[in-house]
Amino acid sequence: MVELLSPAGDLERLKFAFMYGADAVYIGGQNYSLRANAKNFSIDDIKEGVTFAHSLNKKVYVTVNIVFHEDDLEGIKEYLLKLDEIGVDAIIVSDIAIMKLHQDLGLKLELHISTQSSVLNHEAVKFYQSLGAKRIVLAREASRDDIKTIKDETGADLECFVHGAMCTSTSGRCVLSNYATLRDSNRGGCVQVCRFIFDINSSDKPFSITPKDLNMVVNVPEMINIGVNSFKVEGRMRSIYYIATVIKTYREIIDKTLNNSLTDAYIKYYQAILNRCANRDSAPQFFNRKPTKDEQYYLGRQEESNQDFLGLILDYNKETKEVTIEERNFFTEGTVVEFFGPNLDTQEFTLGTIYDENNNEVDAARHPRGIYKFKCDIELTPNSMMRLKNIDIRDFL
Amino acid sequence: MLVQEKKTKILVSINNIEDIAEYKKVGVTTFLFALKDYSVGYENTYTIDEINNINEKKYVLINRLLNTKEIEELKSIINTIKCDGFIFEDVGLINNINDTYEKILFINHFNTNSSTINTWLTYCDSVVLSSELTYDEYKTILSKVNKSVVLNTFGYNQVMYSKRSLLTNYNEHFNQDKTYKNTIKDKNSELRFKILEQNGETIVLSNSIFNGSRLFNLDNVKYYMFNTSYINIDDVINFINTGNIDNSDEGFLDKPSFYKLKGGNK
Repeated sequence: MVELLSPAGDLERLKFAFMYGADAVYIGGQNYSLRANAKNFSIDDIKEGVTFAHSLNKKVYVTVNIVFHEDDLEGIKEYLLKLDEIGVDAIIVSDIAIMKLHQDLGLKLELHISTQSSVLNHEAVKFYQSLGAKRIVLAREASRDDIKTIKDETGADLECFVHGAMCTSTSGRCVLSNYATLRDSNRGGCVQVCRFIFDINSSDKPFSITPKDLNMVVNVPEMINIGVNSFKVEGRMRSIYYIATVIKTYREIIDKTLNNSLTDAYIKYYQAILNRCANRDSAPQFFNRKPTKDEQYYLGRQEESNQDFLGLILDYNKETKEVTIEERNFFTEGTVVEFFGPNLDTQEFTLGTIYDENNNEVDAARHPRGIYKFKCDIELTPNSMMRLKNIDIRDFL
Repeated sequence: MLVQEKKTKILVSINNIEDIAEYKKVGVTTFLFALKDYSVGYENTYTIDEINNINEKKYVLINRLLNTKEIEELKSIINTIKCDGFIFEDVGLINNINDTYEKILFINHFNTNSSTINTWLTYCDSVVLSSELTYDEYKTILSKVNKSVVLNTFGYNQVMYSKRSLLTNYNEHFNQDKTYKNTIKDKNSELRFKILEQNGETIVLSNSIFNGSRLFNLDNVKYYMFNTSYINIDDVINFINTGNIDNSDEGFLDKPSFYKLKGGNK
């Protein structure tokens, strides 16, 4: 089994993740989750999300991964029973008290061990398996050798992060935020002190410990080969454009790997696509070797602009060939764009005349979330996206 | 002045073997040795032979997170160490340390409520509580746990543990001489930390020494753990005798942490 696992900060993101190819999503409730200040899911949202996912034969995992203080345990039993009743497929947990509750309550949903537990070896995996864990989300510091040995020794379901933000610290072993602001990093209040700039001793060179993001595009085939079951993208607070781009890209990488059609040209193409939608540089980090200075930021960051996302397709009229689009960034007649979306191969197009929602011709689409129209021969589907054309696969062939 | 009964519950980390005699003079009888290659953030580490040659009540610290190769190596030697028990971070060791040893689990920053601790106590003899708790939280937890537990009571607290070589990487980037122990200060505030790199891993420590002398008032404590790394022994002895130390604060004892921004504190 190879699963592509997407973050989803709310119901809209959940639906986009599935539309763009995710097999499962992980979400946080309004309590007990490590993104305490994200919008998160109410119980009704979780119900709706699970119903939607199961209608597509896909899965929803709920993070219950904070490190609980005494008062935080209030209501947790009822919450877990509710999640089980709703049909949530698994909870992602780091606190052993919750693992024990999972056993004591006889919950049907699966127990997954969070990356917060920083599991790096097979003995730790065996320990958690003895508590009923079905899956382990490995620490992001796990090397290729670690992953292979763990799989060989335990046969456990393994989930590995493949894309997104990294902590400088080993997960769960950082309270810089607590010291700086009293905001508890292990209960979802992290202020990312690791991205501050420091003075060090009397040096005139500012000290930074900011890591680049994780990007495992080139390693996905090998990870499938050594037995990784779930490929996890970080980013419950990311936009629908980011989720759509990253999930669709990794979907294609996984599918092409499984049908032996992934080429070096496509790997380079996908790297270029991902680099453009992110606002940080990225690298494979710990998989092949320990990260060096090249996997960190110092000064002089020059990330690519991410204003490529031009609009969300709302409707396509097959008879009139008219596209209705919700604008997200400026575009005009003559802009060379790409469409990509669910069940839609990426296709290039040059925009013609643009109209506003009242069918008045306009010189440009310039109002965020404004509704615009134009004609297009490509048969588009609602929820497809339009972006600036910057990268062409033919450049890599 | 700390009563003798409490002094025998002090578990003090050893920076130099000669320090043991000084600690015994003031009534401390239990010592902690950081195991070479398997611990991080401590001023001095010891080989198995060195530990085995010390004839005192002693525990061995293993506070690194171990990869697959490291845990296999450690499994082959750990039960040859002559000590009373282990204080360890990696749960992979729970079933690989013989039952003849005391097992004290030390998952840094976790162990923050009595339910969690009581669950761990079914697998281990004791646990080390998180250093980020208030005095009232400690009091509540200690009244509910099923066995006596260990409290960090003195020393520079570990604030962050990274598998990256952050100082090496920084020095290489700027082509500077390598230094492995420094103080960093946020450019926009007075926030300071100590940072050190050992065996390619990085530890950030609190800038002030944690003075947990108020914790001596609490019961159901197995050990009051002292991390004496980078602290002069005279200052440690003075603290044992008076409860005072310069450049210190009380950590989070009166500072509850929070995590949600809406609706006030929580």
